[in-house]
Amino acid sequence: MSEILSQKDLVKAVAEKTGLTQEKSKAFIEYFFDSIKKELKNSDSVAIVGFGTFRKKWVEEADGINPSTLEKIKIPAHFKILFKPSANVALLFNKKYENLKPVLIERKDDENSVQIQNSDEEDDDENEAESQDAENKAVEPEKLESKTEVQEEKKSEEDDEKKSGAGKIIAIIVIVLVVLIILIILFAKGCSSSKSESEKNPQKTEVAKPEVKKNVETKPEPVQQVQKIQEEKPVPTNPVVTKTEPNFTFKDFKVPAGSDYHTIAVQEYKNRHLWPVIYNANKDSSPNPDVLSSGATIKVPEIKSVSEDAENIKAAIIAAFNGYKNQISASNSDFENSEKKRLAAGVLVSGENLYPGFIDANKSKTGSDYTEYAVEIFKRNYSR
Amino acid sequence: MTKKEFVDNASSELKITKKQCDEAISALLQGIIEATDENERFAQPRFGIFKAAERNERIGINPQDKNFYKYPKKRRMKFTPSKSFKEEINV
Repeated sequence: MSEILSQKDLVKAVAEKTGLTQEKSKAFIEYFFDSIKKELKNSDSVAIVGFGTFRKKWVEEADGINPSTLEKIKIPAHFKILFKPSANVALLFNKKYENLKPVLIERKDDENSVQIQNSDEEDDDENEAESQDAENKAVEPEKLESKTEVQEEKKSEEDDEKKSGAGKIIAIIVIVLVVLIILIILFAKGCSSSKSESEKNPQKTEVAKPEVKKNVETKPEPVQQVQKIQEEKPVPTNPVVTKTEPNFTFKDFKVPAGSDYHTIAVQEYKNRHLWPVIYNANKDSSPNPDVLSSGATIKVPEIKSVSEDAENIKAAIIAAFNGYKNQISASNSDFENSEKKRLAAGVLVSGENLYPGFIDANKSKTGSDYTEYAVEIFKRNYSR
Repeated sequence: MTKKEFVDNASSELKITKKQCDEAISALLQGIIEATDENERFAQPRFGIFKAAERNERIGINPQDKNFYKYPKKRRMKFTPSKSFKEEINV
């Protein structure tokens, strides 16, 4: 840990610079901080130029839980004391990371679509202008072929607008061939398992209508994802279902408003890490571990002890992990996915808490990515 | 309360000159800033602790353009009020 600057050292420093006696400079320091206290009591904030601002904030009464005894307590309404360093102090302290700047991860979805629409409109205008030129010079389409993919796409739109002329039809066929080759290369790299199916589909559509080209390029990815999901799902869930359900005795439980699996687990088992067991019993009705509608009746399994039901609990934890993992491939936003990944790894951390060595033991089921992430979280939160 | 008011009060109460009082304030603040910047903690009894703390990088939304950004980690001065300070404010 860091060293401590004691009040004595500070008194010495002040005495040296001002020529005051040590007693007087100590009295001065006491007086200085006392007057800040007094001032803050009477007003909302105390600003010290070149140092920072002390501020008090009113906090309403709130419910809380004593973390050591899990007892429910009331936190009374009170003033919270906040300190914000002034700009020069903040700059001085942040000198180490001065060069780091915020990085844009993802644009807002609505804005993105608007931008795409705008750019499409601009493209259309350009295309109209270009098509007029192209009509004058029939040689131009052949020149354009050697350029980039984007331009090829534009050109196909152009060509659709024209719909006449033998030379243009030849140009269309050439473009179709080029795009076909690119697509085949992409598929060969992208997926080896679904190769045969996905190669056939684009060929059919493209030969018939060149207009569909754009759609074909975007389609294959979701198709692959769906296939992956279908491949992943049956493997983990089947053994889980057969193992757990016959062994537990269930009781019905009405979900109170504002609670989730965690709070129910704390209430029923006095251990929040056991929430996957409840989720596993009800995952058929609600596959998302974060969603639990209040007022609904759910099944709560009765656990004899953590060590006796070890196998069932472990299976339930893997099921909850898969519950989060399956959502990663289904939802689109990068930000959401990183959150889900964190939650999925968090489930493994719960497992490690109940059964030391759990993360390593299930390395084959969960994948090394999640294993490393979970170990990192566990180290940060639970080991000292 | 302005700095001038504080200097006036302090000099009359502690019987030191205004100049000394002014110098003492800057020496005091500079001492705290330099010490905490070198990863020392400064603890003032019945007031609180000043120390430097690092904040992890985080993902956040810029409220103006609503885009997601990854904000880098940073180091700041942190103040934790002591129990008696909190109690005095809330009396």
